[in-house]
Amino acid sequence: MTKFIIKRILMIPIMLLCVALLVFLLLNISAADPLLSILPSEYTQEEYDALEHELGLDKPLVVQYGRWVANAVRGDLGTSYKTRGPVIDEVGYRVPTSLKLAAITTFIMILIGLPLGVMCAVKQYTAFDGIVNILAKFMGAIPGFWLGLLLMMKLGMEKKWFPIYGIEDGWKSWVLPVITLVLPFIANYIRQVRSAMLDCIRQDYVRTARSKGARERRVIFHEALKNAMLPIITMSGSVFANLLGGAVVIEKLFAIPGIGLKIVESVNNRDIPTLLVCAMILAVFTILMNLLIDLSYAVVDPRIRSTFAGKQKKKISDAGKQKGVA
Amino acid sequence: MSEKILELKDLSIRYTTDKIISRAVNHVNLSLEKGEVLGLVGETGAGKTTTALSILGLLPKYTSEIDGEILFEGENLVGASEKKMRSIRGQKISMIFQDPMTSLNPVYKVGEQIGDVIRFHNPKIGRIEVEERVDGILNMVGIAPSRKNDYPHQFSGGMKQRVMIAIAIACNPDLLIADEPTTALDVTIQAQVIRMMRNLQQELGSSVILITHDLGIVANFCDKVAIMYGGEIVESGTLEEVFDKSRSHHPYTDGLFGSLPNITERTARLTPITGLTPHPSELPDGCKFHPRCPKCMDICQKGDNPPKYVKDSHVIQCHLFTGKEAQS
Repeated sequence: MTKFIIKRILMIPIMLLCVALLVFLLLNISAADPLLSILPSEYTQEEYDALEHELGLDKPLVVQYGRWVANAVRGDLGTSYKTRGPVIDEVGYRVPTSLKLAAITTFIMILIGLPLGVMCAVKQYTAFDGIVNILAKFMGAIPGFWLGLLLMMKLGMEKKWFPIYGIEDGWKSWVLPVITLVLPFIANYIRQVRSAMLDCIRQDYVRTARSKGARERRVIFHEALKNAMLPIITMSGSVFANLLGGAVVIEKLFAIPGIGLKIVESVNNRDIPTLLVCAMILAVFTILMNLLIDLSYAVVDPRIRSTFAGKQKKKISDAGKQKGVA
Repeated sequence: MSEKILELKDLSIRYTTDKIISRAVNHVNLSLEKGEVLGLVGETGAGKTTTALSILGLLPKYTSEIDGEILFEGENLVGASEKKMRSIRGQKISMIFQDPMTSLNPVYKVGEQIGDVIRFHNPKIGRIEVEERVDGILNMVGIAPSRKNDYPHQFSGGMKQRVMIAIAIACNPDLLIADEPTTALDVTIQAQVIRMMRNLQQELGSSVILITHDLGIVANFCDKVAIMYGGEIVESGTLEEVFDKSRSHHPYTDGLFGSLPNITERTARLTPITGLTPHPSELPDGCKFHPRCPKCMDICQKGDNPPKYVKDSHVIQCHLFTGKEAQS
């Protein structure tokens, strides 16, 4: 198990190198010339060449990539084309904000979606199940920018309960963006939890548990839910990873300085160093999240756990055999 | 005198889904005495499992309807409270299911799953005592107690069924229902499991309902036999009565025996019963077996169920024997 974790962690730098290469290639394919967005509207060919040389863009792609990697390893993540300052100053402070937004949203999604999804599965085909299902479809269909604007108008401007932009107001400033962001995710989550639970409730071992005299509550939470956890964990983890960079609309709407917004800005400005760093940050968190998901699989399911342990045991027994021969 | 532990009186069970009504069990009468082993024989879809699940009150809540009485130790279980049923399940009546591969929860240790039954019915029991009892039960079913910390996927099919049996006997039930306990196992393991169940039954003195379609197992294990067809019991009696070839039998029973190979005669082909089991939503009028019956008469196709022909404890539900003297 420990070996598995170490192996996966050692893989992270390699995966990051690949991600960086992909981003480099993609940016090179796109026709947009970053120099044009930096140079003043009237410029001479000499100025253009000088800038190209200064930024290293006159070198072949491989060299550019090599330079970037070498600098990154030394801790220099490059200089923003736009602000001319270190990229890390531009992006670094946004990471906690995005993490916070993603974490709160995921947490609330689980808090509301998990019990509702489980209840729907338990009460399948009843009025409760039907109503939650319709509500979920409704919530899933609301466009975020529209709901966000509505909330801003009603709860922000009319009632003045919550601030309508920025994050300077403590917990209050998170209320409207999180509500706007979380609703469609809850809707989807309820449906996924429901179907995962339904799969497990129909299993033979649930009937066995009932035949043993287990209480209904125990049958559902102890026997069925633990088996339904694998898809539920996967869902929760990937929602978190997606929200980190994917909440652009909401970040824009509520003026939250997150990574998603920065990515859009740097694409517009053709600010390649900033874009690269943002992509790297998202890649790191996605990789870590996947590792965490895999690890919690092993915690929940002994069959997966034994495939980790299995390899080691096998090696030990192989070694034993060789000794015997010698 | 021996006392009746279970009595089914005119038990009927219907499943209703959308517009289809399936009459899975129809007017079944059965009784079982303490320490007796009853073989419930029939094809797939004959209503055996439904009957078994109804005794435990495990039929699906919204889609099934039950009529008649299930008397267990004199008390009617039809309509009994959930709390009452919970205290009976696992402790007084327990069940071994058909498929051991899927009947154990994959994410819990087998020792835990056996211990659960003990804890459910003895809330105040200590942890160490549970462990001791689990060890004892595992020994009884022939599994080393050290394996209680293994998970179901680490066991073979036969071993899993032993674990299922361990769960079923953990609280020393008065009645054990085994629903095709060996169908999912290969033949050598079948013999082992049946032998073990027979030994345990003699040791514990529980009554057993053995649901099967294997007449060999019935001959090996049971005291009484009931043959089910189309949700009805078409023939019942002691093992000797039902297996005695010199007595008269229901044509369906004859068909069942006719479809078995005979070691004393050489026959090129077995004689199967023609046709298929009717679906419980499309049961024919009259005798449920008449479309497949080689001795079908006009009277069999109409009206209600055929009359019962009774001799000693041997009951046959068939028109063939109306007015006839008992022949033995």
